[in-house]
Parts: sequence; structure tokens; C-alpha cells
Amino acid sequence: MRLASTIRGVSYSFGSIKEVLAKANDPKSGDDLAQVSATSNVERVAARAVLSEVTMAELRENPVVPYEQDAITRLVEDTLDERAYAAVRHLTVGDFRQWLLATETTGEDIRSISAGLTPEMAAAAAKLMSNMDLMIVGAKCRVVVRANNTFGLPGRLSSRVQPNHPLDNVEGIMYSAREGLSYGCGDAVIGINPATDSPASTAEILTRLDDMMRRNRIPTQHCVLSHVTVQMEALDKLNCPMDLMFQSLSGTETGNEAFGISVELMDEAFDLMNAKGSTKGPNRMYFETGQGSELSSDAHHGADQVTLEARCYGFARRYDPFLVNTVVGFIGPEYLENGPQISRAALEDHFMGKLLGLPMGCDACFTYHADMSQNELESLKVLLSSAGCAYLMSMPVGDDIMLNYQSTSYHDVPSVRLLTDKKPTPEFDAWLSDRGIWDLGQPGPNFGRPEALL
Amino acid sequence: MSFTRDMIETLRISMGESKPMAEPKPATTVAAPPKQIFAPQPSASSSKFAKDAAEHTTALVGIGHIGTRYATDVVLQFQAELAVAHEAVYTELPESWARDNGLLSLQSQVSDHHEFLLRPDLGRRLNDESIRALNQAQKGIDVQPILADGLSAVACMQSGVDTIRALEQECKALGMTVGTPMCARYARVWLEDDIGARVNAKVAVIILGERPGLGTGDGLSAYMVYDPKIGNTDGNRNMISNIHQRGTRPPEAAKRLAALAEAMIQQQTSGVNLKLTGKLGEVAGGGYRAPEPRKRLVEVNR
Repeated sequence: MRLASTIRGVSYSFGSIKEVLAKANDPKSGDDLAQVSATSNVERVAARAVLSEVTMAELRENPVVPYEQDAITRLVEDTLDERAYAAVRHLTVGDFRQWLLATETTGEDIRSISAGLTPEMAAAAAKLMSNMDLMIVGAKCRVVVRANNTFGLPGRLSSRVQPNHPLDNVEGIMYSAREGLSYGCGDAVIGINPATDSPASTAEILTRLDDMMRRNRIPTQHCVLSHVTVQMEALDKLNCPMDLMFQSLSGTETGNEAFGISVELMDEAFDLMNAKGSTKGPNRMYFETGQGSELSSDAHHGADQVTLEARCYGFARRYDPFLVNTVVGFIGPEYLENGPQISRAALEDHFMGKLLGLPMGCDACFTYHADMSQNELESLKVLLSSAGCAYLMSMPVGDDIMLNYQSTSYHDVPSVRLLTDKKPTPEFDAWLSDRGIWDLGQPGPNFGRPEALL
Repeated sequence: MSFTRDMIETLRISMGESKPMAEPKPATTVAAPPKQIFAPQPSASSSKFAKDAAEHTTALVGIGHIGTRYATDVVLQFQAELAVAHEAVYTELPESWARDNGLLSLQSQVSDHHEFLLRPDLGRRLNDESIRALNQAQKGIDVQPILADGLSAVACMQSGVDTIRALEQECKALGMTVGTPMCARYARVWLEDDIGARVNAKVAVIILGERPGLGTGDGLSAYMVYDPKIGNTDGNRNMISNIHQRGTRPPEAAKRLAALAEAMIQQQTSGVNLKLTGKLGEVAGGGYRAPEPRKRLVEVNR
């Protein structure tokens, strides 16, 4: 296969589709660290030109990690919807981008081919798109799922309440959760990253959350984001309530090994959750991802971080999740250096996840050593909502007191809803209205009054 | 007249000629909204919820709202906390600081602060000059203490010397030999493997600035490894975080680190394989930052 292009008389050639995919990426410090990025902006465009003529069939035949070497490649290949694939296999990536953007192409049309796309195809399309392209298509895609709430409907923006505590002090967690609920946050999930990864503490936090949700009749889901094996033990042995089961995913088999998981383990977790989970479902899983995690565990196989991120979604869709969240700025500046890179990655991840059929949310965030300002972060939240992002995080002043990073605040979620004319999930919206927290698209008398909740 | 001009003229007339907006209504005195005081000052806060919550969490809750946004007082506190965190990240350790404090001066392969943030791989290896400088260091010791900037030079300069000197004393008190105290610039945790192997230490301890959180930039963490060598991973290490005046104070941290070093040498291992039974379990503690009472950072004096 010849992979070459010419710009102003200078020719550029590439050794493999993997190299073309990497060099076509928007600039990312993590691709520089992995030494896979383009050496100049012109070479980057040359790679995009080559990529625009690569067909979807060629992408399927050339996954960035070979079939023989990687369980995620095998999972994607062996379970691809052949009929949906046949509908797009002849398209070049350039044609595919235009088809996605065309006015005639609806969200339903995109949904009909989604299961025939490999992660590499979604990543390739993203590389030919500007930020606004990504937003237009992201907003078109519809992924609606259901646990207790019906999530991902058009015109809706949800949020996770993330009331973490450095010592898992359950009282402290409950104070923070009630504060968040009083701002209309928490319709995606009330989810706690525990400081202690034990079945007993996972079960204790879930039980207390469950009590609080029952007392106040709150239509939402709860989750404790301990390791999946810890949650399995809490669910199976301690019989605690568990609306959603969580795990971080990686885009390669070796990356998942570093997370202590495999496809077989996740299959087992999924079966257990379907048997014993405490919501009606049918969607019961919650996954988190983020560009750069494969490189950080030396599991990137020379591939770029956007393509590897798409492969996380290829893994996630096996389990029909209720939530998928890209924790975009958490990993640090060696992977996403600054505001433009973090914003770009957020829009790429949202687009790729939606295209592959997932209910995508984004933890728009930065660590304090990344070069991103608070104002840039606030802007990103509005961009994400405009792009149809299903949910954002939320915590007191956006400050995670356990994980030490800056994310979305309890005040940001209602602000973004006002700016972009979005509502919470229908079930939660009805509850907020009944409690006088948020009514007819405006703050109600109990807005920001956590004392009104028990 | 053209169709376009007609259309423009008709719309202009229907929308108020030269005044598309009505006159503003006459101004009336704007009543100041009730003062909202940043919550962790429970005495000043009117919210019982905020007062009760402050006993269980340092999260900023019960802070009220103006519309859907923060009160001015909260905005200023937030911006001050953010500025403190950023200042800690961007402060660099002066080149002469190590020597001025009687420590052997080393530097990783990183050459400036920007590169330090982007190239963790270079922060894990000594540069050539530092490798030569190690000729002056003692070899074949039990414990090699290393101070470093990490992600907060502010923390390193604030409690670093106290911590490394206390560690020396505690190790000697337990009968262990201690290497030449040294300080590395632009250092990542794994630099202890490179240094520890070169001085042939049984245990290497690197004490370095933590990634700052909101309003805090002065915490140190210490990472220890038995048999330091390139290729060790985080699973081979034990750590103590939150070392500063309001958290684990330097003398206490030094006691715990020395006890861990002794156990590592006895058991000839570290990290997940190190058995932390009995009193050692308490000493090793958890790896998590204990909650610190938030402090009000902004006072206006006029």
C-alpha cells in the first residue's frame, strides 16, 4: 500500500496506516512523548491528506495493534456488525467525514452504521475534523440509555455529583452530595472515588447513599468507583445496593492488564451486575477513560493517544453502559499540555464515543501543573454542552479535595444549562420541580439550600 | 426603490426607527444583597449547614449562590487558592539552593521547567555532571536520603531541610549507615533508582514536592525503595504523603521513614511485598492526604 502525498512540491511518505493515523493527529504532548507525532505542521497536513484517501476497509484490515497480539483488537474484529460495516466499507475517510457532516445525514442514520465501525475508523474521522466539525456531528448523534433515569435525550444535560473525601468520611460525603443535589446536580449518578479500595467501605458508602436517596425520593443512580473486583465482592458477598458498576478501561490488552482487568473479568462483572444490580436497567455499567493512559503504562504499541482512546470505546460498547466519561485533563501536561490540547481532546473523545454508540460525558478538568486557566475550563463546559455532551462532573467549587484537581462545580452545571437551554433527565427534572430546586428552566426557592434535603 | 431597500425601510419603521430599544427605565438605588461570607469561617457564616459540614469535610459547601454563580467573597477565595497552587508549581528551586543548605547538588537530564513538566522520562535520570558529582558521595550505605523539588519547589524549600536532616538522625539512631545528603533539581520519583544504584545504597528515599492542590502547595511526599535500580516500578515503593507543618510534621515523618527503611533491610524487599505488621502498620500509614482545615486567604484592609 502506497501512503504518500505532496505539498508545494515536497513529497511525504509514510510507512504504515498506524503512522499516518499518528501523524494526522492534532498536536498533543503525549504523542511527542511517545515520539509518534508529525515533525511539522506541513507533515501533519500531508498525513491527513493521505488519511483522507484511506478506505474504511483498509482501516479495518490494519488495526493499530495486530489481531494476534491484542484482546481488544480481537474483541472489536470478532463482534463487528457485518451488515453495518458493509454499508460503509467502501468509503474513504474523507468521504466518511463529509457524510457525517451532511445535512441529510441524521442521528438515526449514524446510529444505523455505528456498530459496523471499528475504533480506528472513528479516530480517523476525528483527525480530519476541526473542533466545530466534531461538535456538529457530536450533537447529531443520539445515544439514549436507561437505569433509574432516562439519560442522553436531546435537549438534556446531566451531571455526576462527585462528593469525594480524602478519608472516606461518610458524613462529609453526604454533606457534599446534598449540596450538589440542591443545585440540580446528580441526575447522571452520585459517584464517589473512595480513598480506601475495600469491599467494606464500598458497601458502607453505597448503603448510606441508598438511604439518602430513598429518604428524599431522588430518581438517580449511585456508584462507588473502587476497583471492579472490589465492587464485585461488595455486591456478591456483602449484598449492598449498587445501581452502577464502575471500571477504568484502556485501549489495549496490556493497558488493561495494568488496570488489573481483562475482557473475561469484565464479562464476569457484567453478568454479576445484571443478576444483582439494584436498578431495573437495562444499562448498568459506568466506564472512565482518558487519552494517554496507555502510554503511561507503556502499553501504547507505538500508536497515538487518540486512536488508543477510541479503542477504549470499542471495549466499552460490549457492555451497553449507562455512562462513559473521558477524564480529559486529569492525566497531566505530559499527555495534554495546555488548554487548547485539553479542549481538543474533550471534543475528540466526545465525538468518537458518540459515533461508536456510547452515552458520553466528559470530566472537563485540569491538574494544577497543566497550562490551562479557569476561564478556558469554563468555556470548555459550554462547548461540551453545545456539542451534545450527555453529562459533566460536579463538586464544590470544582475542587476535588481528594484527587487534587479542578473540574466542574455545583454552580457550573445550572449555569451551563441556562446558557445552552438544557434540562436534566425527565425523571430528575420532575423531582427538582417538586422540591422547588429548579423549575421551568430557572432556580426555584430551594435552589442552593441543601438544608431542605434530609 | 429596490425590493431590498423597501424591505429594510418597512422593518425599520416597525422596529422603532432610530431607537430599536426603549429608553432605559429611571435608575433607582440598588440595594446591596446580603453579605455572603466564605463558609469555612463558621463564625461569620450564617448557614448552619456550612457550620455542621465544616466538622466533617473541607469541601466548600454551604457557600450559597448569586443567581447560579458564586458570591464575590467566594470568587476571591477561590482565585487566591488557585494562585497559590499555580505559584507552587511554577516556582523553581534556585541552582545554588542545595549548596547553600549544605547538600550535594544534583540535576536530572531535564534542562528547564517547561521540559520538566513534559518529559517525565528525563526527570528520572541524572545528567552527566551530576553523575560525576556523585564521586564525592559515600558509597555502600544502608540508606541514601535525597531531597528534590518535584512538583513544588516551595514545599522543598519550606520543610525539605528539616525533613532530610531529621531522617539522617533517625536512621543513625537505629544503627543504619546514611549516605551523603543530596538535593536534585527537576526530579521525578524514579530518579531515586538511578541515584540509589550509583551509590550502591540498600534503600533509597526521595523526599519531594507533591502536586499542589487548591490552596496548598507546601506538601512533601517521600518515596522509598529497597534495592534501587532502573526498572523498579511503583509497586516496589512505599510512600508517605502530606509532610508539612499542618500535616505529618517533618520529625514525625522522619521517624516513620526510618522505621520503614529498617524493615526493608530486614525483609530485603519493599512496596507491595513489604509486610507491615503490628506497629509498622501504624508507622507506614496510608498514602492519602489528610483533610486540612481550609484557611481564609483574602482579607481586605481599607
